Amino acid sequence: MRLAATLRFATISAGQNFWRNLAISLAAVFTMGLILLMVGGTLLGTHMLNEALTVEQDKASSIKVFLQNGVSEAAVEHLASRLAADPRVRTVHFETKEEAAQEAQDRGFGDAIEAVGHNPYPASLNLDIKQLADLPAINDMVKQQTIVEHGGNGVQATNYDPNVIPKLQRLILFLQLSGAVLALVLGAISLVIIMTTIRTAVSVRRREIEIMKLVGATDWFVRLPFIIEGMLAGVLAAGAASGLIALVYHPVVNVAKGWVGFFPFSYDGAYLGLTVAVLVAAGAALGAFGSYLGVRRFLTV
Amino acid sequence: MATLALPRPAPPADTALRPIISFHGVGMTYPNGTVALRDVNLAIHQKDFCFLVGASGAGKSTVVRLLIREELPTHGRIFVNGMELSRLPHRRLPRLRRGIGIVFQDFKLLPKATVAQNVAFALQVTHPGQRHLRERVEEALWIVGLEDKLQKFPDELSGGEQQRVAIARALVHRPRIFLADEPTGNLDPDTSWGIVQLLLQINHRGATVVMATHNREVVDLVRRRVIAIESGRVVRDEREGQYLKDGEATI
Repeated sequence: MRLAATLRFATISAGQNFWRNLAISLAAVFTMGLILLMVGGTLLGTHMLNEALTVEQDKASSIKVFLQNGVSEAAVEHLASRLAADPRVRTVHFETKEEAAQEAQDRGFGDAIEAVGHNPYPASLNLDIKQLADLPAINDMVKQQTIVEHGGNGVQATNYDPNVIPKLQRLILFLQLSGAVLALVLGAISLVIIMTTIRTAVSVRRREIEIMKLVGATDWFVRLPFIIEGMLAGVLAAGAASGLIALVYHPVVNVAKGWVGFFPFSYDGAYLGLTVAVLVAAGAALGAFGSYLGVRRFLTV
Repeated sequence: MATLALPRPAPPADTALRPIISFHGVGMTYPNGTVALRDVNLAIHQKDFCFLVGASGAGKSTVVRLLIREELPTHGRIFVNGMELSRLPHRRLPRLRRGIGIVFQDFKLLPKATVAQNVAFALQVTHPGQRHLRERVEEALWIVGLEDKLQKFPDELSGGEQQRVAIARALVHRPRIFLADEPTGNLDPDTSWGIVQLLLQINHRGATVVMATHNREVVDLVRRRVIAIESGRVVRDEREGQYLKDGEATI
């Protein structure tokens, strides 16, 4: 009964205060909204790049081991099963000469077959490697196998390109690091700005707090309306930021696709939902925490 | 000044009982080094009405601030309503303050709330879910004579009326102690007299009233206990005193 009445009073007075000091309330909502917008943008942007890089990484972590012409099926099967047993290897797929030719044709290289007069494409074992970092070792190991193309004279043993992988790994590391740094900097800035804004909002109502303390209200009773008001501002800010993000997410993905066509950017509705949930929770938490800190200095009366 | 009939004085305080307010060797030095009070000893009993008089900066407001424990004394002990203030934990402050009604020179009203809301505020923030809120608010406003101004806002009222609202807010808890820090400081003589009459009425209803004031006319007319403070010391404590000591020169 008493708790319900306290919550009711705190909620009503939070709403009243919000409305009576609308300019300052809106300033708080706007500031928090802007920061949450940046946080949400960073979250989605990093996720988009990560997803795209994962696709790239999956592509990069596969290797074609070219086989010599005329090796027996048993020898191929023996090597394939040995590779499949290797803990570093995820899958092994045998691609025949015909399949390789078909694939080349599909990619528009059919002319080569006609020019040479026979099928020049070798059969291969296509491996999918679990860790990108194991690729060089796998590459060295398969080259030792007798049935594998020896390389030299313009013929490759595998399609492994030692230059691509480190570049990709560096790019991923760079993106992850800069995402973390950006999130950290945004977090620190947002806390300072939110505390200052809420402190201004609270200081406008110094008199109210003073009266509450003088007539004998408890500290928690003084705090509660401000905390609810902070949460209200935070949730409103998160709502506005989420709405804006949801609105521009799809167009931004399309624009990004247009700019860097080779990079597999994609729209992820589930992650957008998660981002909105994170923003609303962060808005409420930031609002509540900022108000708690903002009121604290006025409670020493 | 209007010569209005004074309410009957309260029955004499029972000095055999423990005082409701007592100071024992209280000294107060502010962090900046200003000595506000030196070795103050006081005993104020239930139903007493006393004036705290003295020049600006003499220490009157410090006494009021100590009583509501906005400040703690640097030396000595203070008892209010049976609680020793230096030993009172922070969480018990609300209990102390609910037993004290207080008004100030600047009224301290919420400008955007009506008269009724201002008075109700004091109950809502201490006793949420109070059943007889409306009746208590109306009763307090009836005592101060503002029962017909419930829906007015502070800026629609005169200074005297605003102070009455503040008094109603302080009364709504039915406190045993009523403190008034320069309550007539911003008011004209007639209005001041009305406020003092109200405080006498509150005293008559059983509350102990302590009024810090500069208002010589009021003190001399009412003839109640006068505690004079000078440079932080109690220099005079008379049962039916005047603003100035007999024979003291006026400026």
